[in-house]
Amino acid sequence: MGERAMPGSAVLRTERLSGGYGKMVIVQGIDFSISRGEIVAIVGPNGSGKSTFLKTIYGIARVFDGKVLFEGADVTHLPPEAKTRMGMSFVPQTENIFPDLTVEENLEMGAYIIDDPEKIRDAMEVVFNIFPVLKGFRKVLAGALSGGQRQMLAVGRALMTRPKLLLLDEPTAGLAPKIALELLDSLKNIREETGTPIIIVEQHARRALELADRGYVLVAGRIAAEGSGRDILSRPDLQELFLGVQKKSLVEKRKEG
Amino acid sequence: MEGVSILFSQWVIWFGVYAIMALSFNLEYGYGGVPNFGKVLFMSLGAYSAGTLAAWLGLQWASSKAGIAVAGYTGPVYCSPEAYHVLSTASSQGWLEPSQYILLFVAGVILAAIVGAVFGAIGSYPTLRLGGDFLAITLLALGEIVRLIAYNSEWPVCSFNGLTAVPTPFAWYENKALVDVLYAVLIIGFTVLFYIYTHYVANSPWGRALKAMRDDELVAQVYGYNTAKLRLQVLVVGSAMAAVAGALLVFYAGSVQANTFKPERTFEVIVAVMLGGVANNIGVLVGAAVIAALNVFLNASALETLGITVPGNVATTLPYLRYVIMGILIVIILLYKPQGLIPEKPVQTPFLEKLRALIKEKHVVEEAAGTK
Amino acid sequence: MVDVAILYGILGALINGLRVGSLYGLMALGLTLIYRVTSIPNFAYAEYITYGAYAAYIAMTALALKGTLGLAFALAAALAVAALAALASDELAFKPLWVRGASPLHLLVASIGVGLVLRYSLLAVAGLAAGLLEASLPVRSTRLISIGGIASIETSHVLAVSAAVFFAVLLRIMFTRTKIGKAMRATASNPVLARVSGINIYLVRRVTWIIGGGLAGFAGFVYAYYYYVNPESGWLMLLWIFAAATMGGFTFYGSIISGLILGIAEQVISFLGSTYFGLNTAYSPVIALITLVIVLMYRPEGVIRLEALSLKKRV
Repeated sequence: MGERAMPGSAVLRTERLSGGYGKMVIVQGIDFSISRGEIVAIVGPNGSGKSTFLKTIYGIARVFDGKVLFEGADVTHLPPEAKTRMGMSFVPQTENIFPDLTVEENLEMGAYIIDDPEKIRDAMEVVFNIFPVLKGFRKVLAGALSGGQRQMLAVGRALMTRPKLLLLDEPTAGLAPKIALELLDSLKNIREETGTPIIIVEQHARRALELADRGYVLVAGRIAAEGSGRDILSRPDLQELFLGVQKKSLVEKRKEG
Repeated sequence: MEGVSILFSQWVIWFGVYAIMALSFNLEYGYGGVPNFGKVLFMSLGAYSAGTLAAWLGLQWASSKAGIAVAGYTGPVYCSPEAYHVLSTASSQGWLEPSQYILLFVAGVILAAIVGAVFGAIGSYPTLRLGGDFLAITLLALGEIVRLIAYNSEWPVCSFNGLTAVPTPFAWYENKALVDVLYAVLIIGFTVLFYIYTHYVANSPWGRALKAMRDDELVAQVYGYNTAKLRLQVLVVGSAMAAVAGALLVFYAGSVQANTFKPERTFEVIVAVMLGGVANNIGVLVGAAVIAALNVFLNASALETLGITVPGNVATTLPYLRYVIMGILIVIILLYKPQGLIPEKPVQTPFLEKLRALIKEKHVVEEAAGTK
Repeated sequence: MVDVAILYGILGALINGLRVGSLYGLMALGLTLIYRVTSIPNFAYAEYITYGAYAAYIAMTALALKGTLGLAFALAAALAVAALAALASDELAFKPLWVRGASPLHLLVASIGVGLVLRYSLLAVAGLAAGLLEASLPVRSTRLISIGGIASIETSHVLAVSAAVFFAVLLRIMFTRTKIGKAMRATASNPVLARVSGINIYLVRRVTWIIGGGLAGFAGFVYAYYYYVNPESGWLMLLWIFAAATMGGFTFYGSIISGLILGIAEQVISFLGSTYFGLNTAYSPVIALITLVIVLMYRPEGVIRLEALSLKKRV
C-alpha cells in the first residue's frame, strides 16, 4: 500500500468502485490509481473481472457504487464519448477497428474530436513512429490487416487524441506469442514518444508485469495484491493463484524433486 | 339479420383463408426460419390453377349439356363472354349437376395442392443461396413477377378482368342465404385439419429439426441435418397449404383476379403470425381472426349491416385505415412484443411418440439382453 | 431495311430511358445511403418519394406559385417534407428497434409497416380531398430540342440526368472526404467503437436520414415535374429502386449506372417488344423484377461496384 502514488499526482483514481452488467455485480470495491508516466498492469485469472473493471471505469459497463476521478474531477457517471473528450482513450478487446475504413481513416476517426488538421497530422506521425508497419498500409482497408497489425492500429487509433490516459483491454488476445511480445514492447515506445500513462489488462500476466511499473492482481472481482511488477512476480503464493502455466511447472518440479 | 349472418360467414371464411396461410407461414418462418415473403405467389398459383380447372372443366360439361359451342376466342376459351354466360347461368339452367359442382371443387383443391407443392419445391432454390432479408426481397419480387404477368396476360386467368364465373361448390343450393354458411363450415373443416396437421408436424422430430435449423443452421448441419432438404420440404408443405388457401378463396368468391394477390396480402399474413407469436399455432389462429375481422368489418357497408352508420368521408377512408392499423401493429409488436402476444411453447412430445419410444427402448434392451 | 420511324422510336426510347433511369438512380442513391449507414433494407423509402412529390404539388397549387421561383419553392417543400418523413420513421420505429438489437429481417418487416402507414394514410387523405388522387406540378417539363419531330429532349431530361450525376458525385465526396461522411461509415462499420472515438452516432444517424430523405424528396420533385403522381407512385417504383441499388452493390456510382441501365432497358425493350411482338408495355416492370431476383441470387454483392466496401454475405 505504501507504494501508491500521492492522490494529487494521480491521473486517474477509483474509490471503492463496483461495477458489472445488468443486475450482476462483477467487480467490487476497487481502489486503484495511476500516475503520470506510469504503465500499470491489471492481471488475474479468467473471469476475475479485469476487463469489466476497465469498462466500468470508461462507462461501458454499469457503475453500481464508488467513484472514478480523472485528474481530480468526478467522472463516474459520464458516458464514454464524454470521457474521450476529457482526454481518456480506450481500446476494446475485440472489434477495436473500423474494418470498412482505410488505416488512415481509422486514425482520423480516432481524432474525431480534434478539429485542427495540423494536430491530426502530427498525431498520425507519432503513431507511425510507434508502429512503422502501419505507414505502408495507409490506404489499405483495415479489415484486410493481419491480427497483429489490427491491434497496432487499434492502439494507434486510441493515441490519435493525444490522450492523457490510455486504457488497453487485453491487446494481445488471440495473437501469436512472438507478435504479442512485439506489441507489448511497442507499448514502451508509446511512453517514450508521448509519455502517456497506460492501464493494461492482460492475460499473459508475466509479460505484462515485466513491462509494467506497477501491477494489480484481481481475483473474483477484488484486489488480491498490488505492488511493483517485480514484487508481484516474485511472490510464490500469487504464482499458484494466477500463473496457470507456472503452477503446472512447479508441480512438475516438485515431482521431479 | 340475414345480412349479419352473411357478414359473419364472410368473417369465418376469411379467417379460414388467413389461418391456413398463417399456419403455413408459421411453419416456414416460425419453425423453419425461412422468411417466405412470396406467400402470396403460392396462394395465387393455387387460386389460378383451381380457378382455371373448375372454369374450363365446368365449361366443357355445361356447354355439352346445353349444346352450346363456345369457341373462337383468342385467349383461353373460358375467358370469352359466352363462357361467362354459360357458367353463370349453369346452375339455374341445370346444366351442371350438384355432384359435378362438388367434383370441380375437389379436383380444384387437389390440383392447387399439387401445383403449390411443385412450385414450392422450385421456390426453395433461392433459399440455397440466400437467407434473411435478401431472401425475403427475392421471394417478394418473384410474387410480383407472377402477379404482373397474370394481370397483363390472357393466360391463365383472363388478364385484368380475371375469371369471374368459377363454379362454386354450393352453387346448386336453393337457399342462397345458407350457401355462405355451408361454405364457412367447409372452410372451418379445412382449417381444423391443417391446424391438427401443423401441430402434429411441428412437434415431430422433423419439426424439431426445423427449429434446430432456424436457431443455428451450422449446428443443425453438424448434427447431421440436411438443411437444404429441410428447406425444400418445408416450402413444399407450406406452399401446398398456401395454394389450397388460394383455391378455397376462389371457390368462395367464384372469381380470381390477379390483383387479389398484391404483396399487401403477404404482409397481412405476416402480421397475423406476428400478432399470434412466431412458432405458436394457437396464437396464429387468433392473429388470423383479427386480420380477417379488419378485412371484413372495417368498411362502411359492413358497419351499416351491423347497425353502425358512418359519415361519408369516414366511409371513404375506412378501407385504407385497415392497412394503416396493420402498419402500426407491425411496428408496435416488433418494439414491445417481438415474440408475439402469446409466447412460444416448448416442444411437446405427443403421447404416441412417447409410446413408440418406449417400445423401441424395450426392444433395444431385449436385443441387448439377447446378445449377451 | 429498318424503318426510319423505328430508328427514331429507338432514339426516343433511349432518351426517355435516360430520364427514367436517372430517376431510378437518383432514388436509389438515398436508399443506398440509408442502407449503408443503418443496414435497413428500407421498404418505406418509396413513400418519402411520394410525400416529396405531393409536398411539391401542394406547395405550388395551394400558394398559386408560378415560374422558376415557384418550382424552387416546391423543391424546398419536397426536400423538407421527405426529410421529415424519413427522420420521423427512424426516430419512431427504426432507431428504437436498432437499439434493441433487431436483425435486418426485423428491420425489413418494420419498414414494411412504416411504409403501409405512410402510403395508406396518404391514400385516405387523397380519397377525401378533391384532385389529390392524381397530381402533377402546374409548371411542366418543356421541350428544349426536337429530334425529327418524334423524339425530343425536355427540361425534365436535363434536370433528371444532371441531378443524378451531381448527387452521386456529391455523396461520393461526402463519404470519402468529409468528416461527417467518414463518421457515417465508421458508425456503420463499428458503432461501439465510433462512440468510444467520440462520435455522436445518433447525430450521425439523424444526418443520414435527413440527407437520404432529402434525396427522396428531390427525386419526388423531379418525378412530379414530368409524371403524374398518385399515392402509390413511389411504391410501384420501389422494386425498380431496389433493383438499381442492389445491382450497384449499394454504391453511389453503381446505383446511378445501374439505374440508367435498367431505365434504358425498360424503355428500349418495351418499345421493341411492342413494335415487333405486340407485347403489352405493362410488362416492363418485369424487367426490373427479374434483374433484382437474378442479382440478389447470383451477385448479392452487386454487379457494378466502383467502391471498395465489405458488404458481408448476408445469411
